[in-house]
Amino acid sequence: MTKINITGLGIVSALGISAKHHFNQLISGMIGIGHYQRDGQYYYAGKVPFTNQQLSELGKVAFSVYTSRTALLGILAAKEALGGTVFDSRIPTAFINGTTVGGMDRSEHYFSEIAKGNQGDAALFQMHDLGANSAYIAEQVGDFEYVDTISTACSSSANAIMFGAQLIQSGEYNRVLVGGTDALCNFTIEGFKSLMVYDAHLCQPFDANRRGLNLGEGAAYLLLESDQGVKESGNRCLAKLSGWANRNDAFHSTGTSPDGIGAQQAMRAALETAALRPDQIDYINAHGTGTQNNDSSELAAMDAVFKESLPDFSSTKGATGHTLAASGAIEAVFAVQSLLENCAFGNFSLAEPMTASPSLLRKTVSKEVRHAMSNSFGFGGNSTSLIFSGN
Amino acid sequence: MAIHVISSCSIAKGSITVNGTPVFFHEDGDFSAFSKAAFKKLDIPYSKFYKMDKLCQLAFLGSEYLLKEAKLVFRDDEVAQVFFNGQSSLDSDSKHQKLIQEGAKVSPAVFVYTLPNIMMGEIAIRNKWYGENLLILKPDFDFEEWAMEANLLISGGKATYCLGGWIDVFQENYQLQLYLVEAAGIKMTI
Repeated sequence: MTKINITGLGIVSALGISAKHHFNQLISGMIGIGHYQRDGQYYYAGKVPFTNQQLSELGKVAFSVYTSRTALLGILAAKEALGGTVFDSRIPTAFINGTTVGGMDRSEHYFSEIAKGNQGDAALFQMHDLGANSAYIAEQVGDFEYVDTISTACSSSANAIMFGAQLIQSGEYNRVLVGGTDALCNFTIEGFKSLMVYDAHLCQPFDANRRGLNLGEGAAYLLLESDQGVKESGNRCLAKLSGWANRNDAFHSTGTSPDGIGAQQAMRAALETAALRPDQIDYINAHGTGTQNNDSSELAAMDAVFKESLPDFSSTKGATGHTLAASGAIEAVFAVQSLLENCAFGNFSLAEPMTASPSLLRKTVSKEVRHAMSNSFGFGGNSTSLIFSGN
Repeated sequence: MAIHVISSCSIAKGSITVNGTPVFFHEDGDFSAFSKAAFKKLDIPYSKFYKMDKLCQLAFLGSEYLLKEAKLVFRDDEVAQVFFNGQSSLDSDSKHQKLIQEGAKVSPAVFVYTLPNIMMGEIAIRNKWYGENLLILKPDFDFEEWAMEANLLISGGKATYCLGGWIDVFQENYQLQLYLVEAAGIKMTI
């Protein structure tokens, strides 16, 4: 059976653009979350520091008021992941995109015009649908035979990665671009605030006094290729995707069970796919949103799965903010970098860690990392765990 | 097709039909009146039902009416859910958007339902099912296409049973065509 080779990485978030830059930002403890102003208020959010006009220029696409920010972020990350890869009819390529915000920023622009008493331009809705964003990105970055969109809230892009791996393993495709993208918008910010889980201050995942999450925006993609695909493309294999699994927590629409049953099942099943024992995982990039509920149930789940061999773990959402559908892919890129650079990333903004375990890293540590796990959990109980392994 | 339909349930325009037999009808009234009456008839203590949005209430009612008739006992991971859906969570999305628009207090009870897959989560919670979930947006329903997805999950060993079908809600238009299927050729042990 073919391996799932990762031959390209691309990422954009509040920390900046490109995989290499993100690695530098993370090891130097940079926080991308800052003050974000809207309607005379400010709050903390991980905003990509470029306007849509600037993103269009960086992504080398024509600027249009009808193009969603979600798609513009996606184009930048997708182009980086593809690198110099040549689209060739001998290697038909699929594109699996995770998004949950889609073109909501453009739809909100329509509504704000209406509220001002202006006539709304209905064409602003043309990228509202999630699939329209995937289609636009696909059109701008390559020649894809198959394009699909996955929307499972905060686990969307982790599921896109899993789906891509299955397309390769089943022999359907030798090359799949996988990942996700989401922009900040009022719809999600207002929603998380109404759930009382939006931290008015800088978020502190895995801290005893954590108050909630800060939303962020961004995009990340990984280029996956089969052994045959690598032979044809000549791309260098950076790492392997070795394990994946998705389970339902079956507990609550927006909360996770106290013991993280879904998370436990997903982690165990991913280990089984990778044929690894728990003590072989060297680093976990946790979902770690900073909400009371997520972090306590995720820690309980990790404790249950790993017992006394709990590996080094951290959440990087304290640097990027919670980028919703993009977070699984953004953190997958971080997991691959931990393998490439042999380091485990530190957690951000820890004052009083919620666990006495030394496994919760305050700072980035250099160490040999052969297998790294990345967790993503979404509303509706959707729990996904991925495992990345070095060459 | 290698699957066998154990039970089916359809809901539309105030009526519920299980395995082809009408089991409930509520004349007049809007969705809310219909769903409350249909829920009361089930006579189950599950007050969470009243908090759900229309999409979830419709999925919940369908699954309860169908499972009541099917009288099967499942292990916690042997039922997969696969739904095809047309208009996603648009009904709740527009309510949430309207609250933001009006500068009103945004409701967590509305925001929760601005994702269509929450509907499968509600069924999973009610039945304590940890199995596979899949929701695909499609312009309309084709049973053969749906059966192919269900068959793939069952023949791939991911589930013994699959519950799902077509669900679509926007404003006062609602439709559910729900099926519980298993691999063909397995003898029922009832």
